Amino acid sequence: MKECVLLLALALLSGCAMILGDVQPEIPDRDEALVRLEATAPCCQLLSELKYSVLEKGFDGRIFIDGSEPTFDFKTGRSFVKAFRIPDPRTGYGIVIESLLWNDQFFAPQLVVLNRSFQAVELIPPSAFTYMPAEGMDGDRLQYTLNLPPESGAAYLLLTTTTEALAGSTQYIHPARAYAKAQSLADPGVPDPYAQHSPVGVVELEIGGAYITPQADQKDFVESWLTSFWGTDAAETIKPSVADAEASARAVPDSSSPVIAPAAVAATATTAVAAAPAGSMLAETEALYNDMITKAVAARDIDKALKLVEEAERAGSASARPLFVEQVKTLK
Amino acid sequence: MANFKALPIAAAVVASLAAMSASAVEFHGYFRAGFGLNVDGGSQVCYGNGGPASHVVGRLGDECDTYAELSLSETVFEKNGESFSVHTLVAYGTQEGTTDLRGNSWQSVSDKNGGADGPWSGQRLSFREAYGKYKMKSGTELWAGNRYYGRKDVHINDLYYVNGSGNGAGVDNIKAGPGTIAVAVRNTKWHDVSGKADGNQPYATTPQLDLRYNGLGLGSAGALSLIAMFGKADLSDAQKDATTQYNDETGVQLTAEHSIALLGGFNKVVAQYSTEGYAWSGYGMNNHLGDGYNIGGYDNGGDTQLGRKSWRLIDFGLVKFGKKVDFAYMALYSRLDNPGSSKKGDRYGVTLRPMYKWNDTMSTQLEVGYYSAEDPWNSDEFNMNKIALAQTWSPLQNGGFWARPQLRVFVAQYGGDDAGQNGWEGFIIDKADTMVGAQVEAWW
Repeated sequence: MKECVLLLALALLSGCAMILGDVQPEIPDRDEALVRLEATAPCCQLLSELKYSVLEKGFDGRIFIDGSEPTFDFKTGRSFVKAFRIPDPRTGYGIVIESLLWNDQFFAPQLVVLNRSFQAVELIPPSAFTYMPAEGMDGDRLQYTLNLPPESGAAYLLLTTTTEALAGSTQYIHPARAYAKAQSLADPGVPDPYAQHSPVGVVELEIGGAYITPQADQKDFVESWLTSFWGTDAAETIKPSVADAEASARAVPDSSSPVIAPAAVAATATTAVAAAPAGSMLAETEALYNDMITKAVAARDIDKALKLVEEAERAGSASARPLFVEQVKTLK
Repeated sequence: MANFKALPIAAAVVASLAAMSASAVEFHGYFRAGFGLNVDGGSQVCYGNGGPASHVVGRLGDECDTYAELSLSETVFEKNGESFSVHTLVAYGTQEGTTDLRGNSWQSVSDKNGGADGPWSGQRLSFREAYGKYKMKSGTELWAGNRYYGRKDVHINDLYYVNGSGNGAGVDNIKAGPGTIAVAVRNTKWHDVSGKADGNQPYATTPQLDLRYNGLGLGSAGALSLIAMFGKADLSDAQKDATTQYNDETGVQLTAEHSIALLGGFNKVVAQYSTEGYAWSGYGMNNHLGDGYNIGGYDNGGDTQLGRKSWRLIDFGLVKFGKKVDFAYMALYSRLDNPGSSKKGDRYGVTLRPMYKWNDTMSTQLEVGYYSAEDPWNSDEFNMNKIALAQTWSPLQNGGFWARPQLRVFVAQYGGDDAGQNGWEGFIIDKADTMVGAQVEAWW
């Protein structure tokens, strides 16, 4: 019997040794990472000089930002940069980005989407990320769903953070409280801690090939699992459009931020496609619209002028917008 | 800009579907399973259980059962800030105790004795929660049914120092001053003390009143919770006519709990005073205070609970030392005043569980425990010690000590003096002092 126990112990110990060998990159502590960030001179002046790695569809894994990355001085401050190239932008991408709570710290991501000429076409600030509490087998995380439809012109994606974000923190649910919830215990009354934001961290990327409904709008795991048995009912079929509507509704009041919610981008793009092709308008109607736009601008009724521009564009006018811009320039 | 036109419609659609979107099912649960061997031959021996007696020297390497809880809840109605929800929880397990009763893959989890032994039998396959809750706009909640209610535990000992679970009804979360009030009644059962004098009453009944004041903030000095419970046996006429050998006094249970954030974790101090039917559960590391009311009789030899009083002081918590070390601890002192005994009962214990994180998934955990009991009715002291070492794997970056699922491989060494109290001479002295095994524990 003692021999059996010894054998078992040996087998388990060898298992330990094997797993001990499988070490992930060490993520430095915030203070150390801040020093390293300050000490690392920017790699380059132009975004085109960054080294880009390919973002393959179907990738689902962790990106370790451990302070060995190049730095870049953005308008939002210096940051380590993970730079990705989107190999086939015309096929459309849906990307779920989750920054994991790591040693009680968060990397608060800023996403920069660049077009083929390395110009920013979309900027997702850290504030656009949603804190998701640990649930099931998922830990605490900051989450954002980035949809890049074919029309977005996206060719590159930068994973960065900002100086402003580094000064902040995110409050997360104390694990003792999550344990209490899982075990139907009384809430332990322990205050929820704050995770300081760090220049480094661990980010999970899930690269899909199509539109992804933001997780905040998704149904619960069990429900979707049950649905896989029972099939969808009418309510399920309606759901995606509700998600779209909600996303747009959220995006609109937030006009102060440069963020454009993915669904809103998609909706605008779809509308553009559905409109009549530019230049297909009757000359008489086009002249009529242009006259009305000129008058509206002269009367300083910009709202009305804009509505006319849009109406004209939907009807196929190619000259309405340049005319509007010209007219506005004449205003003093 | 087309978005602007679509907005009112979108808003209307969202509003009309709000009731539907509230229908997400919440899934929570827990399980532990594994195996253990006795180095002297045979299967693992365990000294504590999560039932009447908790793991007095810590639960690591001291759990001889397979156990699971599955919980499903759903908010079924939500309108104007009010909601109704239903909650269920079923528990499954092999028998828990000193003897390892884990069988083979096909083994049933139901109690071999069925429900004939008393209200706790068959507990390894049971319906622990079935209740409904009405949450009002003010945040106040009305509930009724069977539920885990306001349970408070020391995880490393599986010690439930307060447990208000059972069949009942109550009002929760009534705002009052800086905190909230919760009021509940529950109907608890004990063994029939009358020798089956009433064919319609298989158990003895004790209704309990449970009053709580939660979240009394003291600013940077932490927060206080106060609990008061009252119970009195309510036997049927036929039961009362048949016996006087039970406790019919009103029992009182008072608990004050102080919580404070400490060194990346927390510390809690719990002070308890329990009388009559509560005294036994509130003594030493006896468990589940409040989910039953001990009126004596049956296996306790008559009305031995009459006039008893117990005091218990617990300090426990979790602190962090840097990124690598998490440290869980528990210290307890308890006293029993037993009428008719010349001396008081004294029980105390300490359990420490430090954990060292090697990397993002693997850690080593050590658990050291000591426990002593000098009861009024025993001339000798019972004491026990343990040292357990485990290699554990879990997604550590998400919570260290709390990270689950956790796979562990353990070795545990026990020692002590049973003093003829549990029939453990053959175990903890020589026969069953070293256990090795593997276990998984998960919650979500």
